Amino acid sequence: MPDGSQDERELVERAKRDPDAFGALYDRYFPQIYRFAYSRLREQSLAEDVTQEVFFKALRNMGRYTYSGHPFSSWLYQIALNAVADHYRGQRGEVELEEATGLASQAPEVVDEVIRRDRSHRVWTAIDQLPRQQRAAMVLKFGEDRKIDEIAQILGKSSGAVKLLLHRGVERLRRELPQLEAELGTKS
Amino acid sequence: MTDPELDDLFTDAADREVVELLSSARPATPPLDPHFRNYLRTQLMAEARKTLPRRERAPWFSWRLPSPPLAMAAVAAGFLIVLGFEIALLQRGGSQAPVAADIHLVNGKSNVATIEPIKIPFSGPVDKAAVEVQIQIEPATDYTTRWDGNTLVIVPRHPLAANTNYTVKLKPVATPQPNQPAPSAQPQVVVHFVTAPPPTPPVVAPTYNSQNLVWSGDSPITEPGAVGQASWTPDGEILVTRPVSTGQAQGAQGSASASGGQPSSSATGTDIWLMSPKGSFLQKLASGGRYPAAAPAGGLFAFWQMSGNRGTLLYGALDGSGGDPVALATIDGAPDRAPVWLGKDRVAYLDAGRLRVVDLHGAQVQLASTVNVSGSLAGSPDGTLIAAETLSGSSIYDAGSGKVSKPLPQGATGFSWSSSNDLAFVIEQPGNPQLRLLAHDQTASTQVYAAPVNRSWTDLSWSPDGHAVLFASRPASAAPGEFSRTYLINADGQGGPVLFGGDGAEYAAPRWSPSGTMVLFSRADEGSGISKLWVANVTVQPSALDRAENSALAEVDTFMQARLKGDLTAAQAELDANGLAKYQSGAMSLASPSGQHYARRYVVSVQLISAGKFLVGLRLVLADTANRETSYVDEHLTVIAQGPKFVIDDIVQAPAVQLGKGPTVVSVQVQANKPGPLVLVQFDSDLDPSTITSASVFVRDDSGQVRSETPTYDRTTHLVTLSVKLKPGNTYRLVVTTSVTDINGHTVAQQFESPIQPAQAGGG
Repeated sequence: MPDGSQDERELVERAKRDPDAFGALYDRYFPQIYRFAYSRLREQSLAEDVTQEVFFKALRNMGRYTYSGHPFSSWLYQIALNAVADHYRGQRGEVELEEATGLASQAPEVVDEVIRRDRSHRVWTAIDQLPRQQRAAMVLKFGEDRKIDEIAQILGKSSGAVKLLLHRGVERLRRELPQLEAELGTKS
Repeated sequence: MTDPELDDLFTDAADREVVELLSSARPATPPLDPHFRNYLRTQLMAEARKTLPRRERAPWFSWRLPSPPLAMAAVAAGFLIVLGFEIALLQRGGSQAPVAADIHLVNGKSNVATIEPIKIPFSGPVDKAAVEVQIQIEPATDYTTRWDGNTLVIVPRHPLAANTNYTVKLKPVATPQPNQPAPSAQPQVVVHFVTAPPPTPPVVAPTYNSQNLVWSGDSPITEPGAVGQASWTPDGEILVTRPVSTGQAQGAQGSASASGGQPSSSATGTDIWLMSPKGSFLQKLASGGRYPAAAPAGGLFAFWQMSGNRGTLLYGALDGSGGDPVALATIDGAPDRAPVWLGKDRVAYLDAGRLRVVDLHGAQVQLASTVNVSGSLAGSPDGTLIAAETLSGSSIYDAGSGKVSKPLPQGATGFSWSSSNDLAFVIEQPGNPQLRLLAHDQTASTQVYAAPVNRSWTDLSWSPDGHAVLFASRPASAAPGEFSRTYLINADGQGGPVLFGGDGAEYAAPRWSPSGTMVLFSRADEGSGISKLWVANVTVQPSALDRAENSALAEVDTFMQARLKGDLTAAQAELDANGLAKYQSGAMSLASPSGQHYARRYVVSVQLISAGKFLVGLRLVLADTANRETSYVDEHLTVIAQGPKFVIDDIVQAPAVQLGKGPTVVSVQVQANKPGPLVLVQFDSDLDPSTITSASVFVRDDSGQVRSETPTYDRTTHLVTLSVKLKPGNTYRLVVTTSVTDINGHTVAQQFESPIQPAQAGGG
């Protein structure tokens, strides 16, 4: 019996020349790519645009995809990450997004949303406010259950660097959550 | 923590607490347009078919068959068509036994209903997945499939276009066998059929007045107990609950009547299905659902699902696209009614009797006050108002704020909103039940009719134009010979209620179809006491203008019969002096091109130009000597009244267009509207919405100036709607350019143009 990765590898190879196999890959990965795009952009139409771009780019580049031991989804996440970054570049010019930490928090609906939702939602709202790389690592680890090696592959970093991003992300949440919750407690 | 990577990474207790919180809390399910997923898939598949290199195919007979003679026999058998059986060879369990696809149910048929599944039985087991992925339908049609045993059921996601020649191709691929080369394609099974023409649209929309309407025949569409709750969708399909039974679970799903009889004793709840008005089950939309309700627009539906003692409100797409339904809210306990749509993007529901409103992202709308509903609840179609019956009285509420907009008279119940936001309701007071109406301006309610004593009026259902109300009238106490009946009453009460339906059986829960041409109702015959779902046809008595239109179309029919027979002398006899002069000058032809003949024709448009003068758009489909439809020609005939009859005054002929070369316009309608008329352009294909723009579909005047606003596209009906500014008596042209593209990437083969001539004053 082929294991899951073998099955996926065969499906990916078939998808290089078989539209139906590519359709099967789309069916398998659409939910997580859309969810990931939405988690980064917080707007339905933008998430749709990015998801569309991811799969069309994947289709156009299927022939060049080479199995590297990581799940096929890593490649899709990588494309999605670039598409999201392109979006923000288009929005704000060539801004170093690592520094653009206030981007999500500037959205007026974030605070309103947080007020209504429970603690777990508050945590995710706080993640929205992390720097870009930290946020991507946190979403992939805690939202998508990706392995650290895989996240490293997606972000183009070493596993050690991903661990550091996760560590910094958690440390920052640890510092900011009590303050955020106190602030929310006074508003709600 | 259950992730060893996180265990290793975070050892500090405070960090671990945050990690625990993150691990236990997942981000909320993001909002997702149910159409988007399917739309993107269709786009990708079209692109993939164009760009991916083709699969390598081994010569199938070299490995599939043990000897060349047998291979040759199989080749012959593969192309054999005998009495509607097309033989396709499929590998079955390693043997080479052929399996026949029986295409006689649909192949070669004309007049095929536009809301019916396409059924193709196979004579034995087949590789279902392989058959499904190779289906092709032209014109471009989005569809889903299911299997009833060995019968393939192809369900178009939206109603098919009328008057259209469809081709369905199956390209079976056998199941791969261990240690065998990849299976190759088999000869195609090809099915052709033509859909039924729609009723010719009247040049002036009919008025649904009780004196104009005729209950013209009814028939049951289900067996007793085969379905539960039933309601129309905006597309004219029927949303039903269907008991889950053992047989159904095994996949034996045919038509409503075939599924048969009482729900099985093993029924474990209900599923939600779409059904055609003829009673065919089209598609299961949700498992384990109840109380479905279709949105007034946007192609969505909402329903309830139970999990333990909690109810979850969900919504999904009526065409089954977009994946699983999305949860919007939960309540403790079981719901007792369907959710109520407020426009196309909010849903009202009751949570332990308390009114709540949620949007499609799952966000609750904050209502200004608590509204505890004790009875009737209805939302206006534009989504702005809610009529609710509470213990302290009935009122109309603003759906955005929850504030009372207008108190209603004491005892008001049974709310029903018209398409123009008029509210009909009943006041149940002993001895004097009343039907009342509150106009959309909400000034004061007026009494439409006071019902006879000892009968109750329920299930109010407006006609599509808001001129009449259908309802059920039930005796207060059941006595022999006393039944519930369905009645019709004009909104102004004039003429009083008239019996609209039969007598001698229980007629109940009438629901007018969105088109106004049908009524869905339940009927229980005396003795059985068990209801079946029935559909009645409703016809409108023609007005003087409709009679003139029918006479003009009858003249066109006579003229065309003569042309189709090749009797040009008889055809010329239908021309007036102007038409004859044009014909004799050679400016128009009455005969079909050499080597071709007119296979069929249909009306694309009818416009009233002035009193006694109509412009009729006709499509003539040409076939070759083998009777294959190859192309069509559009003609515009000017038909004028001359004494007691109509004659053909002029014909304008367009160049021939090849069939099967992209999407095609099949109907053009000019509809009166305020502030300006609407031009409705219907296509035969599912279109790529991004190609419907003000530069690709528009109306221009003689000087070339565009007179239409940005078009809208309704994917469920393939309908493009243009809002236009036209002066009566002037001539305009509807233009559809070749940049309009279907979902498979095929463009309109040739620019389509059609004259638009609004009637001069007094023309109607």
